[in-house]
Amino acid sequence: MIRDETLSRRLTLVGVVLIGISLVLLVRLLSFQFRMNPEIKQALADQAKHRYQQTVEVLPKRGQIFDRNGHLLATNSFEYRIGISPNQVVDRQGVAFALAPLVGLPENRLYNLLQPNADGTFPPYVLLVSRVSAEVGQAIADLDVPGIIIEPLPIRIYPQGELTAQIVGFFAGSDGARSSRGYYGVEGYYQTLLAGQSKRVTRSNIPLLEESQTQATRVRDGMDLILTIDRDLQYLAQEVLEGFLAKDPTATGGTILIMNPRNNEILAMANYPYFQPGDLSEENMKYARNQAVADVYEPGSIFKVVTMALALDAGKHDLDWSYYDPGCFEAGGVAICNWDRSSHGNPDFAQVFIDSLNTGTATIYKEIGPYTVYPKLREFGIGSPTGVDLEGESPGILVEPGDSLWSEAQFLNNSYGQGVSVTPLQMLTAANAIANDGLIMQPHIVKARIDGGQVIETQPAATHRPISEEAAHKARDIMVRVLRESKEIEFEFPGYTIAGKTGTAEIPAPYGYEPFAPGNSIASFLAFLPADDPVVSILIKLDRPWGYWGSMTAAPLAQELLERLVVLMEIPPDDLRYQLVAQGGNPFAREY
Amino acid sequence: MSSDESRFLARPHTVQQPWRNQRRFVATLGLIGVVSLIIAALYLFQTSRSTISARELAEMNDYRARLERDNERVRAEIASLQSLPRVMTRAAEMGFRPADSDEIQYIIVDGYRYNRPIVTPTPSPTAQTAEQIYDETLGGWLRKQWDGLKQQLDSWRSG
Repeated sequence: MIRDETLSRRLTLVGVVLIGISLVLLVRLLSFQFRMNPEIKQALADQAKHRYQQTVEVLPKRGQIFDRNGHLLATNSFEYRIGISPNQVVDRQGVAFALAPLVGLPENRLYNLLQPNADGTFPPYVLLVSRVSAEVGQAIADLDVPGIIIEPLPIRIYPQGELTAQIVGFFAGSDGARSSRGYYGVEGYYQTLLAGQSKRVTRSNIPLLEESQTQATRVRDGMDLILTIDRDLQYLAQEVLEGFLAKDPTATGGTILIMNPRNNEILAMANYPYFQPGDLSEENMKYARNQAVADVYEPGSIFKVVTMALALDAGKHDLDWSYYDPGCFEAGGVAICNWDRSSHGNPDFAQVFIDSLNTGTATIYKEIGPYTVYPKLREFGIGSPTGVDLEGESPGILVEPGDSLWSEAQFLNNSYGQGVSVTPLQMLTAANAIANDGLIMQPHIVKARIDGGQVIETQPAATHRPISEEAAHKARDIMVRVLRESKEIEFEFPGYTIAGKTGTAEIPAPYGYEPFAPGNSIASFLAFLPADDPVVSILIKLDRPWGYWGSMTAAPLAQELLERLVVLMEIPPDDLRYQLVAQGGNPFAREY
Repeated sequence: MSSDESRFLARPHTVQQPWRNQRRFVATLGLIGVVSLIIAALYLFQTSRSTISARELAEMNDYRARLERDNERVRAEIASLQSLPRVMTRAAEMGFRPADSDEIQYIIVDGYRYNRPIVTPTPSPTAQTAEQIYDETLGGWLRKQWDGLKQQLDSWRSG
């Protein structure tokens, strides 16, 4: 009995001791949980986080860019960065043998990269090649090498190449999409919309734990953009321009712009020299800007259509107006001369533009006065950016009364497009006011944005009415007569009524102007058709052509362009169009 | 009667032996142990299943990402093959050339109202997220069982 009681007492004692130790451990555990030194607690938490979690940025897909008919102009693809964790590689020789030809490294060098450091430890990661194509990446993945790390790197693809390169712009930056962005053209202007929104996600290596998002609630892919550009018309414009430049011995470049004057959609915008997308060399980057919106030039006589329209709208001049043409006269200390420096008698208002008489337009400006002319020019958009949705637009140059460089001579020069600088887009936008019954619409290049399944169409918006409808119609009729009656313009296009005007601007040289010298002018031509119901307008600008005059170089080129353009745009000759309209059809419904 | 004897006699004869208490204690402990083991086994089973599912999910996500990348690559390749400069070159090789305006003949059909077709922008195909049918709640599990049962009944009825 005594033994039992002793045993019982000892067991109780052992139990109490064990419970005591357990309690101490429990209290200690609880203290770790609830009353730990915050610094130690943070250090432990950081250590755990570092071991079990990683924060990564989930990148959105950049929006794609299409032409108006759904042809891809810019899309995404992937290249791959290849790395390896040498400590996970067992058969180093075999891996080096298999990988070497794929990553482009000598086999012995690759084998050395897989070896441990001098202290016997392995580096956690070794970069093998910074970029390989998708095919090579897939071939490496198929090898199923343990420890290989294949990271996809998004890249931008421009399937149409140089055809739309200056319109679309380009996407560039260092590795990965995070530090890259769009430059120039649509890529630059719509960078935010195309880029979308990324999110940072903290992921646990323990599969059961949910990922926590530290920034945006979800990855928002970039919007897709549908441009107003018609790929076929763009190709036509580029081919026609390239064909001319290949034959001309002095021409250095040019621009062809095709628009819908009714809503100022840009249908084609071809420039030479071209830009090669994907080539970021300094030489190529010189041509990245879109010359049709970024480069200014003195428009010369095609600017007379603006002079004509604003004069008709100002009310001081009508079709019966006439003046005595001396061939040359002096005003403001400079000589104002016609292109042929000879008198044309007593031409009326329309004849001034048919014969492109500088003395006539200067006289008209003189009679209207600068304080009426310049506000009107502003309304035409001269001297201000058009607001087109392309990055890198230039506002042009318009010197006005009050500016130190302004003079009466400058004012009179402006009447025939000298002393004023415009971009090709500004010039055609101003001329489109005549085609569109006096109303200027906002020029634009994005027809619609696609956000997920939602299509947001760009609504045409009027920005100015510089002239009345009546003045616009009168100006249009004179422009039709210009192409029909001018003896100098080499342009013939039977079956269609076309309104147009040619222009020639001298290029100033360091030693002064050298008139009529081949390769020393900017020749241009603008037109819209059908004149009574315009559906398309064009502007051709040629830099330094051998033929000098716009009527001899740009006009025949316009004819070549229009002959194929009416086929592509299905614009029937006037008589057929009238028959279609008489039957209740609408040949020019909304598409263009 | 000695005092020891009287004390012995005074003890109620229903008092249990000490070993019985110990046995009960051990049995209780054993029961707790068995229940704990069952719970632990269930927990382990559930955890391993979740882990396997999570790993499969991760693999499927990787596979989906790879397919999406492949799709984008193929889309870019198709667009490059269909690019206009390439198509025009090929057409020229095959003997085609652009038509001039004087080679086009328009035919007016009496009474036919010609309207140019309106091209409206269409959204590009985007990856559709699969609708989640069951979630991992008790309700989701019950629904899954019920649907399974219903499916079995339907197949049995249809023979």
